[in-house]
Amino acid sequence: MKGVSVRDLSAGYGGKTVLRGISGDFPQGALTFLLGPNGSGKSTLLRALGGALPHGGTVTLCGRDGSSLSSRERGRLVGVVTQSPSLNFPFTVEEVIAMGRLPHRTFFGSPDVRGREAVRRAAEAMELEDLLDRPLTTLSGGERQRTMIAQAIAQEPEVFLLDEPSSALDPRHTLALFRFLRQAAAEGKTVAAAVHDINLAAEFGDCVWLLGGDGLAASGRVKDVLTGEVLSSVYGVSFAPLGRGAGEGERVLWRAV
Amino acid sequence: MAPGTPGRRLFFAGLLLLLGGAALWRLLAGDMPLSPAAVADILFSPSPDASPQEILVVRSVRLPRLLASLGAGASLAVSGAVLQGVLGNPLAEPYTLGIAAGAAFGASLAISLGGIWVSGAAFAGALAALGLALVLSRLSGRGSQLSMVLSGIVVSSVLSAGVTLFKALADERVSSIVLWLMGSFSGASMEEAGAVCAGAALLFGTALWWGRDLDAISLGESRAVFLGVEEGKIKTVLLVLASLATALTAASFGIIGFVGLVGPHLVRLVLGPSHRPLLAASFLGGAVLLAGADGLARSLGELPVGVITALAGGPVFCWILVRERGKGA
Repeated sequence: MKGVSVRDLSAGYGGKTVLRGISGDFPQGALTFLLGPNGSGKSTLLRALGGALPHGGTVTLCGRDGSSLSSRERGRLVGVVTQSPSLNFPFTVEEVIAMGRLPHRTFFGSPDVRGREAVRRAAEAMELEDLLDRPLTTLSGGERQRTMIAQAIAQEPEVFLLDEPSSALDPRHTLALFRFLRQAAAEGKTVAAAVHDINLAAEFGDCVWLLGGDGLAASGRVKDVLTGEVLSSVYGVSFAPLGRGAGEGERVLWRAV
Repeated sequence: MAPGTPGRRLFFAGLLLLLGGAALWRLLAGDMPLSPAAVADILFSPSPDASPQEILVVRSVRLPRLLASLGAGASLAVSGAVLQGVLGNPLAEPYTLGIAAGAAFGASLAISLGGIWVSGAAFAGALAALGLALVLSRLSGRGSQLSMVLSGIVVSSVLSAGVTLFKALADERVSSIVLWLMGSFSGASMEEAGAVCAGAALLFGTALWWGRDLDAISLGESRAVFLGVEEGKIKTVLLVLASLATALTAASFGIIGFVGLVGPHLVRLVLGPSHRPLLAASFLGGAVLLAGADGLARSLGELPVGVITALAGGPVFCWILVRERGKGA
């Protein structure tokens, strides 16, 4: 199977285990949302899948054993967007996006026409064309976040893993981002995004993973997982239907009450 | 400044010009007046038309000292740029992380034990000091920029005191101890200069090869891992080579602070943070800065060169500190 498949994954920091016995799939061609309370391990899971955190269990990425991949191969396969963009040095937006081409570079670093095109399209997708020469350090939080997303887009990965990619985005760019991710999924990419807004999952998602306790509390199609009963048990607060969402199928929005 | 632009070429041309100027000044200036033609004759002719004394001054005093200061400057500035990139910390450099003091400590210990394997001891001291500073910083402040430098300064202070102790126990005069603690190129030999230049070249070549990886690594937060960069391996190799380059400098010429800070930061102001041009310009700029500082130290009556670099570099450190704090890093 393509996509991402996880078997008996455990991970944590130092001596503290955050995730235990996680098994499940992010199907190819689907947009899967990771939901769960603060500290339920969403970021930990994405970091482990991205190769930045040692983990137990097995991870299969696009049919290949994750532990057998070289750094470069993994970088071509998986694009990760994390929460905190770096501000150590004043790289420009264009330089940061172009770093997304690192896994694709060749030995002699010949002029990479396809790379330049990928950088241009990534900037366009995140509406950054007018900011390309600006240092990241001078931008707003949302603009920085769009730059980091554009870097992953320029990477042209098969799998997108995004950790709260819309936390600093205004409604216009949030909509643009999830439309882009839906489109990427429709083109056969595997997309997983951790968010706090349940209704982003209700509106745009195909599948949902609900993390809770130290494991996976529920997973499956959006309409099967996002019910008042399941949400209440995971978040410890009651949920009531808010209305119908846009998009195809039965899409119910929720609010905590 | 984008690659290949006239501005960037002009900057590098300017650096080369300054390098030539500094070299000329250091070869010509001194107690024994010599014309440029005479110096060129002594340096390049197999049988120069000069007195044995003049030949000795140029070949065995001025040239080694020039090469030593150029090599040490390049070495310290490139080490600074590498440490800043690898650790994602604009305040990092061999001096602020305690690496230079660790090397001087190792060297002075080896010397007081009879002078065997001084460079190796300096290298071991440099690595140990860096490791200690990084562990301390992780324990005290989860590796934040300020805690890293604070730990480095603490390590540096203790080890500098150790250097003073060893030197005093070996009955050395206070003035020679001060030269160790503040650095001096007086009496540099061709062998020492060669070792320093070799260390600088090895670090520079390796870092340049991994220049684009360093860009991603300097973003921090494992971004480089997600971009397919072998972050762990590259970081380890570069930290070891930066320690080696610093150790070779400190073992022969003592602790010279702030060159690794001033060089790369001045370059970044003009060229931006991209590592390939940054490393190349730091190599040249560091060489110019330290050769110039050494010339100044010499003309002020053989001051320790570290006095000049600290007087110039301290304010730059403050400026970077305020700027970094200002953006909430």
